[in-house]
Amino acid sequence: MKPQLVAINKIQPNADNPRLIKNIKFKKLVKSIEDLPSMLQLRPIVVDEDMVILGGNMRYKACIEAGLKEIPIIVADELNEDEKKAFVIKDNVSYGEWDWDILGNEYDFESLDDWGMDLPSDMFREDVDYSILDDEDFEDELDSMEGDVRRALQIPFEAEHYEEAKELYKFWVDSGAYVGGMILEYLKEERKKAGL
Amino acid sequence: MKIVDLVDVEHNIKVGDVCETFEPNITEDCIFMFEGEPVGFFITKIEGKLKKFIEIANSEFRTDRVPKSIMARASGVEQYSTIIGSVPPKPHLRRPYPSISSVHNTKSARIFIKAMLGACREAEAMLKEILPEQYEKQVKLIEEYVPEKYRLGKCFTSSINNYNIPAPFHRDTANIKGCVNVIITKKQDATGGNLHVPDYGATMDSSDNSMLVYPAWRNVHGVTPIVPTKEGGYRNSLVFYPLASFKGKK
Repeated sequence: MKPQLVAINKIQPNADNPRLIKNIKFKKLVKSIEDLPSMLQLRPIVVDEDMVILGGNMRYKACIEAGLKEIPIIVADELNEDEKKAFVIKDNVSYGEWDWDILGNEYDFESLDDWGMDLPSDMFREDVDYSILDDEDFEDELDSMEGDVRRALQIPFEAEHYEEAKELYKFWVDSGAYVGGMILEYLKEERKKAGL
Repeated sequence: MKIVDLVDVEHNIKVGDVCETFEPNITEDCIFMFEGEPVGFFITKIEGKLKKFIEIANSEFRTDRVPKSIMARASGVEQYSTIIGSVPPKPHLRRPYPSISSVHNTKSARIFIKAMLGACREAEAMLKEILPEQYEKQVKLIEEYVPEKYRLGKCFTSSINNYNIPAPFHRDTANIKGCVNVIITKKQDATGGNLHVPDYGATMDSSDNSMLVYPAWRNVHGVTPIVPTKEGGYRNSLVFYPLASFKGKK
């Protein structure tokens, strides 16, 4: 089946096509068509006998955006209604997976990105230069801040002791004492006394 | 640098409202003036040592070496944050005393913290150069409000990295009044995340490596939705801020 060139306004988009395209990807598709228009000849838009698109809805929109007046099509006039519905979906299903080793070794990622491939962001991350940290001295500041980290333990009291414990805690805190250190010393001493 | 006069505009936005999308209208380097006084500035591209420190901090932050508070995923997007520097007393969490963020106790986070401290120094140097009076005022306020051990640099107490976290409209009421925040943005393959100040109808273009210096205590502001345009796309905002609640604390 040979493609034929027709005026773009003769073709109708398929209102039942459930595929969507986001703005950034659409721009990439437009650029891809502008950069390599001959690909349309090799992979034409597929339409039914009423010139409604079965395959290539997004490319059709991108061709309009790219300013094309004529585009190559193939008319699939032998399909029944069920087959047309199946074609719309099957034409968009991708079964394969990418071999990232081959992509990494044989292609450059910026071109792949330009061609519309969905690449993880990290592929474009430049190596970060850590050498500036060698020129600056932060050690004292780091040590001092590390030393000022405080963490809390919850110590349960019997209800009858709670108010007294609270009052004593407040007394020592207000006096500027490090209550955590006082408790620690007491507990260490008691353990020593118990020979444990 | 270009001068932008901030002028009050009418609006119905209040604290707690969700910040919808606003297109940026502050897109060039500029100094913000309000009633004849400079109150902040915006730089589209930081450079030099500040940029290098920020790149290291941003890179380290996104590794497992830095502890994080993970938030619920919104629309499948990862969201987390990490605070360094001082954390104020939180009696409702049964912590009636201030502390230094426990991240400082994590050895693997040391490079991240170093880079943040370096970025803090450099950001302060820019503040001193561009708004010297604000810098002097802020140093004095910090000396008055914040005991030495709770200071981060000379102008702040704390810093947070916010990864993919937009913010509903709020005002930083816990900040020391008269001070400014520094907000530096790292953004890759994402749109939005711009700061909108409805009082002035101003939306800063929080593009990658931009720096905003702004008195966040003064007005209600929000962050527009962050939309990754690719898998792994993100917006991280690195914020340095001065909290008031350390006054008189040991």
